[in-house]
Amino acid sequence: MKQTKTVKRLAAAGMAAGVLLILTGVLLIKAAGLSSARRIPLLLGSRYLLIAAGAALGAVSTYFGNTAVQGKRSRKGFFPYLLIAPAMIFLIIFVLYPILNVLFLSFFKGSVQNPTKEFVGLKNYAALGGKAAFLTAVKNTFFYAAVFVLLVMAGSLLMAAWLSADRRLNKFSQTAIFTPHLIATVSCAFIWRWILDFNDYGLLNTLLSVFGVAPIPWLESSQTAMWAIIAMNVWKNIGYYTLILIAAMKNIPAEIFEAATLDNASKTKCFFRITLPLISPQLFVTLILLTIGSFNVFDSVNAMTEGGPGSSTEVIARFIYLFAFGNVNSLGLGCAAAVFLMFIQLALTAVYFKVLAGRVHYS
Amino acid sequence: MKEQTRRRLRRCMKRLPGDLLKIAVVLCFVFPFYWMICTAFKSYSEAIQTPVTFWPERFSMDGVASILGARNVDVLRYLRNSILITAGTIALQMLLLVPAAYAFARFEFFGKNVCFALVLLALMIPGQVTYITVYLTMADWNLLNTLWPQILPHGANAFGIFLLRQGFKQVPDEIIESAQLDSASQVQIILKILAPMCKSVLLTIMLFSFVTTWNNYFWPLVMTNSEAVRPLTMMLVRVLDSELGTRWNEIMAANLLVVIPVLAVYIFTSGRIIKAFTYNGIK
Repeated sequence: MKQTKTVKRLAAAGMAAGVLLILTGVLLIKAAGLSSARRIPLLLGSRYLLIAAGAALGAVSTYFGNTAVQGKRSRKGFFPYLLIAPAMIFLIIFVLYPILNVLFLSFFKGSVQNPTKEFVGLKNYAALGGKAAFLTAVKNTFFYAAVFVLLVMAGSLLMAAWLSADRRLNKFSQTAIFTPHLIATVSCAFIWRWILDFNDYGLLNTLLSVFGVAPIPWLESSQTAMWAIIAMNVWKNIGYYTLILIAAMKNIPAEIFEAATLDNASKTKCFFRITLPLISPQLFVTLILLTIGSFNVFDSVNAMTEGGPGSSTEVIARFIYLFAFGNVNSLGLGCAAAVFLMFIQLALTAVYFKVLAGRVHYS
Repeated sequence: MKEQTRRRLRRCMKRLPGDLLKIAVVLCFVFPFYWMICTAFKSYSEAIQTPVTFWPERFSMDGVASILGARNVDVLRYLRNSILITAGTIALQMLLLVPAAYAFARFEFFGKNVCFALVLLALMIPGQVTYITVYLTMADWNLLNTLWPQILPHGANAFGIFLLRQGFKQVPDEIIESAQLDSASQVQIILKILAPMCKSVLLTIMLFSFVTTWNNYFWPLVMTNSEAVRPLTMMLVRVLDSELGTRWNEIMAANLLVVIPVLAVYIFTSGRIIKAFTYNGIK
């Protein structure tokens, strides 16, 4: 009915306006500490009024909007809001508000005690561009992400194809390669650190010396350290993605493969022309999750090399960690880096959607 | 030889090289764990000796003993923290997720899509970004020296909402409608019908939360300032910094403490954990 549509639209607009009012009010509360804000007392005084107005507008919009959406077959009126409220409150406090707040704080120069000490606008972002530590971290993180995603995607596809048949050996293998994923990253990191050890006769160097190869300082050399971290993470994660892809492969109806064998299709042709396209939705989601996750790398770097040697394994997450609460007055800088991290992840997701969504085959 | 046996043998032979390779790959994957256990039960001198021994010549509890008896590393405290944090997180999640998933699955209301978008956002934005504000919030609420900063922020588990919503959606409408005809209250519907029917999904979510929370390192690192509220994963780093230097047998012994509970649950739930992690209804 046209009437309900208009009501719904109005309610949505009202809701948006209400949220904006509340945000402005909160912003004014936070900015009340700034000296420049004191010059506009009227604006300051109105902040609570803004919040109240926003809340009222939101409530009214919700009332009318809900009545419009639910229509006559009242789907329990306002009860759903009661159900969803606890989870939403937690999400707002611990996800939505932090995102907005980190963005907000990135425009200030402050510290833990006084996060909004001084408003500096975009200076923090400019400072990031000139900071060697940040640029190195970005370069390293991109390198890590690219190699990691490539190795895991290719590796798990291969493993999935290799281990998908229904045999006891395969089931056992799947369980075995999945095990590293269950173990804490720091634990895995320490085990690998011990195996790759250079000074105390780590296993790898000892084994290599049997073949006459001199011991290599895996984690102490800037050329090999990042590769060691990548290797550890690939080892830890490949089992998980292999299992996801195997589950996806199992969903392909057997008749398709039977028809293909009737047409004398080779195994490789089957794989590229049938399996891959039919699991492309799962591949797509996996690729996105992998990429986004790889930019967050922190645990393994912190436990294996702490960013060293030199700064060859510094990553963005470590930069944020070191600068947000580590240095004095660099909270804004850390927040700017965090915003940058968020931006990269969102941008990459958008790129994936633009470039690959067309090639995903939905049956 | 009978024809059948000959055929079977031929099949075995054809598969043999592939199978051997598979076993080799699997062994390589699992070897680091074996090495961890091996090292944990060696004495320090044997751990670093050459030639390397693949089985402790002298079974030694040195590593374990010094971990448990270390003066500046209170193992029991770390263990207690890990257990409390994990149990608390799982309990909180059950309280929050079940009603929310029920609402998403079986109700229509104004703003449903916006709320769901918020859930999706929670999946995408990592803790490495949100921790800054959450820390400041926890400082404002004076909770920094308690275990709450490690429990509360993970209360609304987006992944869990997804799974549970799917599970609830699959419960046939007729069952719920007949319950409503018998004038069952909403709470009764949740507790007596939906939850028992979705036991599998609930268990899956709990297992996933257990593993994720137990293994968490970054979040305790940034949310805690004192050793008294830190979990086992942070104990490992402490051990590394101990005054005796890098004594690998001790580090591996400490590792055992972090790894064994998860492995035990893994074996005990026999494969359900795999289903938990790969339970992807994504299409």
